[in-house]
Amino acid sequence: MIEIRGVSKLFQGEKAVDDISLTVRKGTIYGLLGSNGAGKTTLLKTLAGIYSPDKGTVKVEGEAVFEHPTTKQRVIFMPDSPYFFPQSTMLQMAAFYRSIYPSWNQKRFEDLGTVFQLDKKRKLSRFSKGMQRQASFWLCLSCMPDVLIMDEPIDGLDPVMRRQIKNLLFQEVAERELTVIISSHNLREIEDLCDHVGIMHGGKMLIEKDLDDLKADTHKIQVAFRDERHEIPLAAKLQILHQERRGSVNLYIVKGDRERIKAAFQVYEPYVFDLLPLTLEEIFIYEMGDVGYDAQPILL
Amino acid sequence: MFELDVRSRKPIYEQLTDKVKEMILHGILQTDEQLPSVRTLSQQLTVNPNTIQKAYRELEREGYIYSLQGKGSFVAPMKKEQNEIKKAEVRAELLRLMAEAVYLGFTAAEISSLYEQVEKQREGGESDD
Repeated sequence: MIEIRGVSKLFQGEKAVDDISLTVRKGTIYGLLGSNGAGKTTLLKTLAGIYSPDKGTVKVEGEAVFEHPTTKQRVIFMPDSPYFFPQSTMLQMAAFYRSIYPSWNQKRFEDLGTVFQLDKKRKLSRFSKGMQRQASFWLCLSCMPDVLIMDEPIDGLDPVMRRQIKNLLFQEVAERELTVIISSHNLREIEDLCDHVGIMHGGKMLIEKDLDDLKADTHKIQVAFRDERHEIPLAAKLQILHQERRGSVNLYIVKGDRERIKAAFQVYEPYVFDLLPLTLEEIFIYEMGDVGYDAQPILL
Repeated sequence: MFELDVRSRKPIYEQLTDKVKEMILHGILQTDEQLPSVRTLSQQLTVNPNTIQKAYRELEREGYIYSLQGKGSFVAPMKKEQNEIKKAEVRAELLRLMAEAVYLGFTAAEISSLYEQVEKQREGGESDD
């Protein structure tokens, strides 16, 4: 279990992470989303014990992380751009990781060689971006960590490798309750991968929830009323996040129980009534819109 | 055995529970038949094992499946209320078709002759067994 309590981190007086509390249960795949500069990477690095928090505490299985090698041995941080020693090969990097992580599993490293078909003797700097990404996954997964923290891990990988890596992660989660924390802007991927998500903006956590609950809680409704006056009493009955009119069709984003919302609309027997679950991307955009961060309709 | 629509807006967890329910109601999954383990299904579908676990828990809560410690999940005997759910589904479907039939000018006699035709087929089918 990972517990973050009231963590703040400042850079030259500017708050990158502002009083964030968060609990990630063991065996969870947690997706960290947010606007650019929201503080995702800072939070992840604090979590991994690379930064020390200016305020608050970060604990993994009840132990602090920063400057605690015994805790750090169970945590792996995969940065947004893979880093290897200059001129090193896969075998040399594997030897280094083996010396750092006592949980290193040599058999697993060799087994994974059938998945990641990379030349172990070739210099890593000569690999493509996607192949370097595969190399990092190979090293990280061979370390058998309890907590895997990844900053933007998915880009650069081809669809076959994405599926392969997802399957590997799911296997680790199912078998040894690996805890995974991922930051990404690829919301489609996050939607397929994670069971919990948190959305950050300006150093704060806007929303933090079980992904299915989040999706079951917000709905998109398209409705064409028999009489325009019907829309007035609805506003009082429902929690409407967003509303717009497109011709004779009204679009609503409503929070609440699906059946109750359905019943509220169907009283008026509208001509058209469609209730759809929101995608994660839509949830993200409407939540951001709520705090004044949205796409401006500007033509330049 | 399951196919999910990853492009659908419907949460994967809901797709899973609906699919299993449908397969039980249609008799594709028989009573006491074992469901694939969370691990196997996760690998087959490339779906988060926690999501599958949650779907199984929900199905168990609703009485569609039962689980045995260390053995896995199995299909529970169909209960009366599940039968009722199925009946309600068919009723809704029939109503929809019936509305269309009436609109197209079917008479009550024609519709009832269809019922008799089906019943005759069913009797015939049973004597063949």
